[in-house]
Amino acid sequence: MMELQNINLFMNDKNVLHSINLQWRKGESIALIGANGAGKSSLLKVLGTLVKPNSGKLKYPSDLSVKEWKKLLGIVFPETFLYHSLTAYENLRFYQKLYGKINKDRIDEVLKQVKLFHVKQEIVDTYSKGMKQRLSIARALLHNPTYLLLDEPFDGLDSESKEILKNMLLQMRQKGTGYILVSHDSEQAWELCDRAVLMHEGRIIAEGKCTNQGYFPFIKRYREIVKEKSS
Amino acid sequence: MMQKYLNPTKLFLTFATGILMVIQLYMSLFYAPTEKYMGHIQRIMYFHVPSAFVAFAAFTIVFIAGIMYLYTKNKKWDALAVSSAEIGVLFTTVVLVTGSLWARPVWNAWWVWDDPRLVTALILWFIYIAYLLIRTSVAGDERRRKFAAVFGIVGFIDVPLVYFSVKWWRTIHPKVIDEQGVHMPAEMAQTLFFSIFAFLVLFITLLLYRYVLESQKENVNELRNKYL
Amino acid sequence: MTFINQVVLILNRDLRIEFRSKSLLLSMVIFALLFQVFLQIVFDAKTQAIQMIAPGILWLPVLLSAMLGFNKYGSAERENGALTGLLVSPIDKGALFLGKLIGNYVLVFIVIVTSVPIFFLFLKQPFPASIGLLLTTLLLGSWGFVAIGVFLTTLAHSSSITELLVPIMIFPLAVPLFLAIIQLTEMALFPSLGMGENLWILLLIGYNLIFTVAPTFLFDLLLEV
Ligand SMILES: Nc1ncnc2c1ncn2[C@@H]1O[C@H](COP(=O)(O)OP(=O)(O)OP(=O)(O)O)[C@@H](O)[C@H]1O
Ligand SMILES: [Mg+2]
Repeated sequence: MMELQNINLFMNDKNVLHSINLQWRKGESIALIGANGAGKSSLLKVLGTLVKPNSGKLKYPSDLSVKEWKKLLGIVFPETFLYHSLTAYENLRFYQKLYGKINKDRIDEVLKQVKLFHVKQEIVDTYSKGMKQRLSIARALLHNPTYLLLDEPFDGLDSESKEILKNMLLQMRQKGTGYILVSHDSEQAWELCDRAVLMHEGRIIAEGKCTNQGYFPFIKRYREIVKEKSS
Repeated sequence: MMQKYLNPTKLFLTFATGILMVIQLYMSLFYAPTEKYMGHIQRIMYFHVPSAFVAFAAFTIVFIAGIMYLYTKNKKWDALAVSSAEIGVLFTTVVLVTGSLWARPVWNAWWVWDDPRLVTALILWFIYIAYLLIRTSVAGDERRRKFAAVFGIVGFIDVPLVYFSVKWWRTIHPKVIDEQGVHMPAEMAQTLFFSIFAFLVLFITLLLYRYVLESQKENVNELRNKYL
Repeated sequence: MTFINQVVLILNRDLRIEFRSKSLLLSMVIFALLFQVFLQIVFDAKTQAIQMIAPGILWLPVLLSAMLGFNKYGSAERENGALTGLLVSPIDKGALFLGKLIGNYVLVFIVIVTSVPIFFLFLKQPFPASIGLLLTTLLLGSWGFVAIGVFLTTLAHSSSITELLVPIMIFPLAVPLFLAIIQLTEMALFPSLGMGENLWILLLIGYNLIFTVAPTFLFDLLLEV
């Protein structure tokens, strides 16, 4: 279980996260919901060990070291992490080696999953935005991570690709891969996760199981916050 | 706790520095005898050499504070490093200017490349100017503080390399000056040592003021971000 | 994955990208040649006078062209968050440094291979007095410069420090290196008594060791958050 205890984070002296407590069990899928600027991406950055919290503690699952935690982690951020002058295949090869051994079949497999197999020898620069996003998802899944951080992974995908990604996530959920999903499509996030967490101005202000009854009160709260912010 | 002693310490140091500097001025201008060959111009030494000591002490502190900052991640060390670097650059400038003023009549040139100490001082000046330039954009970013700390450490390690390389560089070519050129009467030596002492106290005072200012800047920043 | 494998992985990635577009390599080589010609014209090199400035004319184009490379080399890593992709991966940052260092060195080596022969061609210089010493100096000297350049550039980039500051940081730190390579080149080009040769080579090796070994071991700590 991954655990955040009392995390505080400042960025450029701005308090971005306020005493965050979060437990992320192995295989658990969490929907992270909140208005723009709530601190969702920042929270993912803390979990990805990209920024160090100013106070508080990260407890890695079964006392792993940071390096071992990184190996278990797969990340989809708004930035694709791709090298645009390399081909899709070369990109995946690089990332696969970064995490361990080369396995060509695995590369082909994920490429097929995201429907990019037929263009795998083409330079990424020639890809459309949605194709890059799909390749970025393939890159994140390549090393079979146990924990996934997904920051708006549906961004830029057409409805068909959205459906594909959704099915991939449901599949992984069954196989025991946990993920934290940041999405502004709350209904979809609700569908894909076990638990939802609502963030507002750097704090977690509500949590709940993603049940059918739970949805409307939770979303009502979320809508209120967004309205309050924009007024 | 510390706050309670801060103002008395500042006051005491300011007074002590004032008195020491007056004595230092008197000693270097009147007490020390006039040098036989160089004349009054030699008195520059009582400012030049102590400034060099201060600069060196200052950069040593940048080095140590840099290591401590990387080790503890405590912003206090970073504040100490930047305060010390600024004073170091200031006194290196004094070293360079007084060195030039002295060299003009004595070596018949504003600048000579043959003195490893002078050249090292110049390179040092550039290194720590670069350090301060890095610092101008630091504003609350930990990564940049870290970078500055690393640069301060590397720069300091580079100093002996610069010194010895310049020394070897010049010794392969004919040498203009004799290292042991000045034979010093007792009064001169006393004045010189006293000057070094006075300048070091001056340095500590300046450093304290500058450091307190830097910490207060930090505090103001933090408060502003908390409440505004 | 072992440390060496990681170094090779980074090296492979960068060289693949650089050799695919070749624009950086070409600009570095052309710049070095152009600057070589430029220096010859500026100093209107006469054979008698050349002894004074020959080492400078030999090295300046190489060093400045290397300088050109530091910021641009591996710039793909700074696009689309690729650097973030590395930072969240289990790679040893020392391997990242060493891979970039070797890759950069390959480019600078190509610059040397083209620019130094041209130097001798233009100069109608007699064959260098000691070709072994010249080669040693070229190889060690450029390594040291690339090492400090890659060290500061990589660190600056991951600390979001403007690249304008990089030359201001590199040149004062590289003064011992410059003195060593200029002295050694002079000894290599013209017959000399070989005075202090070993001392300079020692300095060069020491400098290279400091700026290669220390970053390799410390980068992981420095870039860790
Ligand atoms: N580098 C930074 N410097 C200063 N403030 C920052 C920095 N990065 C983020 N912030 C601030 O932190 C807060 C949270 O940002 P974050 O990106 O985590 O929001 P988010 O919940 O992901 O929003 P969005 O839905 O728009 O992606 C914002 O108020 C933002 O201004
Ligand atoms: Mg975000």
